[in-house]
Amino acid sequence: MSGIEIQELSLVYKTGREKFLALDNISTRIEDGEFICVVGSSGCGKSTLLGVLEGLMTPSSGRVLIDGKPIHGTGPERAVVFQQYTLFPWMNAIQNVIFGIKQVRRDLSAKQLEDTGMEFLQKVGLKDFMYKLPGEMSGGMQQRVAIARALAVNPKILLMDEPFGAIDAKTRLTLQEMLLKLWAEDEKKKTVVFVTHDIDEAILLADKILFMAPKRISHEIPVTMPRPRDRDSMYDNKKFRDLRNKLVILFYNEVKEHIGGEEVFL
Amino acid sequence: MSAANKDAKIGLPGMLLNLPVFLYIISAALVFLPSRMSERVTMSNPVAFLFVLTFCIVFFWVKLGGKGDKRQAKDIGTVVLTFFLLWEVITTKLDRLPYIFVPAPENVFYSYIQLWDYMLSGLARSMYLLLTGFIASLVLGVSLGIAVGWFPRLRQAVFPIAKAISTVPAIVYGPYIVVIMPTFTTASILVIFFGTFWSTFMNMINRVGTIDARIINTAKVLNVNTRTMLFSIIMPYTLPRIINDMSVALSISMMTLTFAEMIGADRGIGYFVRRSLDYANYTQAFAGIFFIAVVITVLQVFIAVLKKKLIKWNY
Repeated sequence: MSGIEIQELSLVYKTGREKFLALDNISTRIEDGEFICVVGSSGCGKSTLLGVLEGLMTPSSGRVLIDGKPIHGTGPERAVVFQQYTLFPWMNAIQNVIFGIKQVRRDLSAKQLEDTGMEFLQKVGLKDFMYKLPGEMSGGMQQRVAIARALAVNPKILLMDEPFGAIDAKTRLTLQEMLLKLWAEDEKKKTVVFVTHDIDEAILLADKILFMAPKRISHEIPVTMPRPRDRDSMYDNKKFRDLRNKLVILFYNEVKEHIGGEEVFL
Repeated sequence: MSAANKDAKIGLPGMLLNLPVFLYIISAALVFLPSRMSERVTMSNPVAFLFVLTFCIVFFWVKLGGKGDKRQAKDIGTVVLTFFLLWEVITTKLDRLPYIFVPAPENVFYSYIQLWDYMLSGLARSMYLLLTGFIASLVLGVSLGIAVGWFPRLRQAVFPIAKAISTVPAIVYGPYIVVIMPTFTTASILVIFFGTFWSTFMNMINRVGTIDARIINTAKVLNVNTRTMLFSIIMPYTLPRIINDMSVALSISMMTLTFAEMIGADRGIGYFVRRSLDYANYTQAFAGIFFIAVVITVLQVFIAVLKKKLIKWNY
């Protein structure tokens, strides 16, 4: 069986004697090559779910299968882009990318590593910034390098934890477009699991949106709008507006439930 | 605007018309005036003292013409040259203090001309002990600290023990090490080693335990093995802190060295000072103390340069 399969997954945080249930019996399936966005308000467990997929967190019960095999810890078939401070600050852009490749491809020569690094930095539009240190780059450029590093190991699955969350709105649009282009140009598309709390971002990117109410996936919403999607014309599209309204209402209800059913204005 | 002024190039008048230059001229001129102390003490040739004064003013000019803070350069130049001027006036010129205990600057600095070969061989000897002990302590402390710090169980067990041991200064059990080791050389290297090992080791364990989780997680999802994690991620990440701690550790090592040389050596710069004090030759003791200060300063400058070369990034 190919794809990602999440089976009856639960996760309990233990801090001293306190226990906190973060994920409650989650089961779902993600097909190969699907672009999935996980949406929910903060504290709903979406980053925890991604943490389990990354292999950085161990579930309390249940399991995750990739192509039928249960995962234990991190693995070379998965690459991750975090929100911030994700580059090694003492390595310049190309060294960061090469470091990533080197960990999974020990057979490549220095020249091959260099060429691959350059190729991927070029793909994210940073050919002229190869020798810059992260501290000398803007947040958006740093995320570009992080994406290049993730793609350069040629993973089957790309896990992204609010990668554009700390980026200004204008740069975020360019980065979303770039990500979509890079994802679409692969012959065999990568499976992407993308965590965000930005509804518009989710609709623009996703094939399917997993909406998380606290601790579980409450709705699986397919996004059927044709690709390539264009943000400017999307707002005139009725489908988009309906979907957006639906998600806003879900958000709204969830927040209301969260604070005990009292009336809130968003 | 004021910042621009502060950084502006200083012309020839600016270089010459300031307090340090004025103090330099007075001090240098005073050297050639009659001295009251010479009635009681044989005065040495002032050439060494003049050289020191000139070195100070040249160094001041270099700093004043450089990129750094010019006001700071002037303030430091003023303090240092005032010190030499007062020293010269109170001792050589006016003879106001007991000449045995407070020697004249001419005589102190002339010691270097008299004893240069003896002092240099002492320095070589001391540097050999210092650097061997210090570098061994640094290398072992850092690498063992990283390895122990990485494994939580080991860290939790070893850290309290290292912390407890590190509170005991090495000079407390130094005499014991001198007794049990076969030669003075191995003993003093070992004392210098223990002078900084435990604190370096402990700091390193602590640093690995509190390292930014985002860096560790990033490395983990890149599937690094343990060795790469320790020496390609944690080591460079903590390098700026390691170098910062190096200057403190070096001062402690120097202290330990001088201590060790005072109890059992037959050569070295600490020994030189002790022997001078034993024979009540305070002129040479002064010379030795200045010499030690200069050596430590040079080593500290070296560490600062090293940091600048190695660390092009920061937290």
